[in-house]
Amino acid sequence: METPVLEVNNLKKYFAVSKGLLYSILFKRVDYVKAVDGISFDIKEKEIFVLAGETGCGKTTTGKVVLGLYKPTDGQVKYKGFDIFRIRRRQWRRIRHKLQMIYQDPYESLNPRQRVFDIISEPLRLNKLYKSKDELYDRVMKVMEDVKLVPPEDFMIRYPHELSGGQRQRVAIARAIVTNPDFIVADEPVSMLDASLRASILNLLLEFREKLGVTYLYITHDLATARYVGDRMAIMYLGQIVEMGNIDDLIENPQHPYTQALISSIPVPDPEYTRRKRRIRLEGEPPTPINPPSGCRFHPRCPYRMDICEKEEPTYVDVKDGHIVKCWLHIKR
Amino acid sequence: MTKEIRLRQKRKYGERFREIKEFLRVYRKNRLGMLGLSLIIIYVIIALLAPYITPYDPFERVADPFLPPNPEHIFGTDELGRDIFSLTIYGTRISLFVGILATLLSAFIGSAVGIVSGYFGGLVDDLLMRITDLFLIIPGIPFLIVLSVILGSNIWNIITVIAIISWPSTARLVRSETLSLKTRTFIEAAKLAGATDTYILFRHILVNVLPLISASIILTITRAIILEAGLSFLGLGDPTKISWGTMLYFADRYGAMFSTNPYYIIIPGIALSILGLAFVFVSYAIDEIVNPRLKTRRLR
Repeated sequence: METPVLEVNNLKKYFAVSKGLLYSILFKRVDYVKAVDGISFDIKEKEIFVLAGETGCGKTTTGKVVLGLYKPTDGQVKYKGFDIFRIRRRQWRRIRHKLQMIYQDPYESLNPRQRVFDIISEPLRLNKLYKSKDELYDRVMKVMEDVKLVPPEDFMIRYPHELSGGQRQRVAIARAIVTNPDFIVADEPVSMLDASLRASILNLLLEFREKLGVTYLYITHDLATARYVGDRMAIMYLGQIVEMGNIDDLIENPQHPYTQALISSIPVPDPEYTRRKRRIRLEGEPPTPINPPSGCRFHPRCPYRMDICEKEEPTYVDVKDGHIVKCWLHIKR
Repeated sequence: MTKEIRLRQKRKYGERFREIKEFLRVYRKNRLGMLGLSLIIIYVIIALLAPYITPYDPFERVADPFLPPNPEHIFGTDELGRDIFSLTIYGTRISLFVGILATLLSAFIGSAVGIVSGYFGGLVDDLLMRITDLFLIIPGIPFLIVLSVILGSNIWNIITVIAIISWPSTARLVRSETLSLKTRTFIEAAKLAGATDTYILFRHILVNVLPLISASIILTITRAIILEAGLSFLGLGDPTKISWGTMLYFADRYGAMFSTNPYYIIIPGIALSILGLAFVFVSYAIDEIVNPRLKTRRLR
């Protein structure tokens, strides 16, 4: 079996909550937000792996740990077999530009005081990935044409505030792609864009997979765009993966009650269908990740709640070739 | 290579000063600001051309002491018989020189401390901010007096002393801006691209706090000029240099107010007030344009 591009094993990331000096002296304890609490998954080469879930479930934190932006509390992240938190600094320097990120908000992710040329060429300049100024210029030119910022000469000298949202996102993508990365974390790359632009941006991502062999971790809460680009998907709830599998299978045959609720909430522009459809409404908000519920974390909101759900945490069950689910309903006792 | 050159040229002539131009366009509409700016320019010209404007050498006795204003000496003479008009003109030089240099020094220290403290946070931040607080709570004038007595009255010491008490406010300002910049995603994106902390500090943080620093510089200059005058008036100025402060000190000492020539005290006082006012006008105008809460129209 080929080694996956990215291997995540039992990854945990807790953030300490600061409640002030007095609190910590009086109660002598630190609270943690368990943003990511023991997740594992593999991403194969040229695969688009979707991580979906509600706001605050730990999707983005996972993405950032995987890129080495946060140090994990526990667990491993392996990029092509190298544990990225254990290899030497110098070696990490050399491969760091192979892992890139596309951010959600193109208004925040570009320095307002840099020109487009400087923004896109920065990763090349910082890693000294060019031999001459000509080469630098040509590579920026080429990548700008690839993301369809044409004519490049006109865009190069502009500042971000002179561009539209879609153009900014293209600049951000160009910057991520310019170093020829193997792996890109795309954190809701189209959620801030007009619906009319989404498809063209998503197609760009697909195009780079074909042309450059890029592997993606696609983070989103929008299952419709996820299905458009994704190969496999994992559903996260309160820092844990509750269901994972082939994306079509997962959306057509959701096994976990939470996934079912998420999928039933996708709006379908067909009133006839909507009237017939049974929508699963979840009660309440997700609980705080500081003190997650005991047993199955979903049990307080679950419509199929059983006694055992509260007491014991379920294990993963393989329901159909690689489609795994973490729910007592599927565990035969 | 031709492409590179074309890009360079476009950068150079096309839009390099676009932001500055836009700023000036808005600034020009601010009457008070324009008045302040013109006054400052006049002062600077006077300071530069002092030897050509003055009718007499300010260090020479040219007439009897305490002469009232007359056709030869429009503001009369001082206790030694020197020409008040010439003295005041030369005083502009020292006041501006001390003001600007002390401000630049304080802006440099303040920005460095503020950026490092805000960016690195943690222990570094705590340490630097406690030092800043220490300097911030020291009462300015008494501290200045003590320091200048210890260091001695020469112009470089005065500049240092003024810078020492002015930098903390800049440091605080720059730190808070750095703290907010630090959380912007483009900083994280730079880290992903392989940027080191030093690179991020200079290329991403510094360029974004620069407008704020330049706005604070204007305010500090006013303070520095007044502080210099205050110190000199208390007799702690550089006795070998003529500044408005030292003129006021000698005028006071020789009882100019009740002598035959009260202009000795009035003229440097007025020169000082107008310059101070001019800088305040400019800083109000800049504040109105840059401060988002006072902004009447968006710059960008």
